[in-house]
Amino acid sequence: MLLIVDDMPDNLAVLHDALDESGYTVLVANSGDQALQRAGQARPDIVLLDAMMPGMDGFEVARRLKADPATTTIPIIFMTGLTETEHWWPAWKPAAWTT
Amino acid sequence: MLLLIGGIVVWWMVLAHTSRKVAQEESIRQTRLLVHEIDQHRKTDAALQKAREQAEQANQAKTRYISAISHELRTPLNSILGYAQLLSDDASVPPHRRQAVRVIQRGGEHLMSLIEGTLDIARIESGKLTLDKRPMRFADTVGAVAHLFELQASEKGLGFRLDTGEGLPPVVRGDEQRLRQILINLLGNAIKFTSSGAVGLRVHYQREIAVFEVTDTGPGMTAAELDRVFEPFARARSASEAGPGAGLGLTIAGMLASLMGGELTAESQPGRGSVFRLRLFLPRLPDDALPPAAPDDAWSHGARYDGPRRRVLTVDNEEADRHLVAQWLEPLGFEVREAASGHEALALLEAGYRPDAVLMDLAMPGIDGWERCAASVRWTCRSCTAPWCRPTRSIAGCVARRRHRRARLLHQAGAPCRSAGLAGGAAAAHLVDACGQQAIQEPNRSPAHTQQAQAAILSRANRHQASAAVTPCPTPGAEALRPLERAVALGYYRGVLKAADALEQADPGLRRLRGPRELAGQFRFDAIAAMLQPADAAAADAAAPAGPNPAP
Repeated sequence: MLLIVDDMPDNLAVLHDALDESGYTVLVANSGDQALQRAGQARPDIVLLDAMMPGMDGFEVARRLKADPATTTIPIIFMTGLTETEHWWPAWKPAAWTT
Repeated sequence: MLLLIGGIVVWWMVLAHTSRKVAQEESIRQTRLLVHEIDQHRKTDAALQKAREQAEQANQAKTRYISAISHELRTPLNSILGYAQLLSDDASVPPHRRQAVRVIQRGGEHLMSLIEGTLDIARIESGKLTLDKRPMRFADTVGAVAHLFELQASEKGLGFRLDTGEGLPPVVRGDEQRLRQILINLLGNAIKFTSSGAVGLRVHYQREIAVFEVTDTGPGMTAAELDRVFEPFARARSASEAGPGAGLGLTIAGMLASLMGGELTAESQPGRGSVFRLRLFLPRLPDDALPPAAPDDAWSHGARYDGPRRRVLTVDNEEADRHLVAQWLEPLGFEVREAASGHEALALLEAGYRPDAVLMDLAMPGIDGWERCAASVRWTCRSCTAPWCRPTRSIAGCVARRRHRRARLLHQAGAPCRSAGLAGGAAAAHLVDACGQQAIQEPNRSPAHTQQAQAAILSRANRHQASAAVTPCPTPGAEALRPLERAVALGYYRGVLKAADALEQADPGLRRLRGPRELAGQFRFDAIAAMLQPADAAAADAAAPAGPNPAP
């Protein structure tokens, strides 16, 4: 079971269809708040997370997921169009707490 | 004594000579320094001049580069969009791929609007955009723009107020196209970001200055967002809820406003809505300086309307009323078919007749039948939001379900003129046309009949009986809804589809749950949750009689 998080419906659609057709159970959230709520509720096996979202961004979502004991073991994959090191650096910080 | 005086004089003379010499030398030295300084200044000036030229050249090169690349991008994008359009019209595309085609189309259109916006900005920056200042019909232009958005607002369930103060001058000098562009942008934004409440356009004209104020009751902006609102790609936090946008519209509007010698400012507070204020110098001209009537004004004055012929089906049991509708619509260029009852209308539709709009009397005998048969015709109706209703394409139901919307539709249809039926025809024809136009802009609304089956609802007269025409929608029980609610809470698309299937199978009387399905396809689970929430209230509202109407 996967949870994909992105604020752009069309990005979600592409990813959802690709994963759904590969046989995964795909849950969807289009904001950080929803992502946290759904991750807590459904305990997905993995979270695919968009880094840039209005409101709570992906880094913050990751931080909170890692901070919550219930969701701390769920691996997170960031999806981002950012290429600069300083942009994706924050993503490593929460990741460093796991495994 | 004499010697002493002589000595002093000589000494004084010697002193004076020396000091003069020193002063002269000093003056020469200073002059030389000054000349040197001036020389240096000249050099710096030349260097600065050169740097500025270089910077300007670089900026021009950037602008040229941007417009060149935008043109280059547009060419392949056109073919992508063209083929996406072909695919979306292609009946042999399997249903589960239609969504994919739609995503391609939406993505392409988004890119296209970005490119167009970028080109606009490049054009303004390079000074290539010139204003076309001419005598323009000011009051008519404002009215036409307002009318366009009044319709959009009512479709979204928003109120719309146009306030022109003490009236507007009929003719002013200005660039009509650019003024329209700015107003359309501001009003479009206002409607896009407002989910409930009202949008207003206030126009105040005094001493050759026109002040336009576009107000909304949307989410508003924080001070930081407000600071950046005219910057390209600065999107507010509420923007992702409102849907896709290029983020260039306000930038362009602001640039156009200053190009026209005016200014565009914004005021806003979170939770309090926003006000965009546009001030323009539009000198008043004598009323007889009218330009020749613009084509889109022409048909409201009795001429034919422009564009593809639209088919209108008029359904009324009164022959005289049907003829009346035909009489004013046909000269405008509409193809009018008449049907004397709901059943006759349905027979026409089943035979393959696809009107662009239906003008229907809600107070016909046997209307109950129409409600049911309308349900079997899969038509788009965008006025209705109850989840049990959206799928039905129930035309009569949609009109009557929401009282304020119905009143608005009736108003737009010219209903206040009761004795003349659909008099005030130009307004109604406008609505027909506007609905048709919008339908074309949104060809994906009803995949079954992509181009043609776009229903606009116009209804006339007899509001008392109209409500009697509506049968309450069957509503599934709270227990049956549980699986759907659970899937929605999880954001589980497949689950929503399955739950919707199960609901439909469990209760054959239930109409197809198209609304939730469509929303799930766009991953707007919150909207479905909201839809499920007030279901009881909405159903109760629909079932309740409209009550006595204040109109005689």
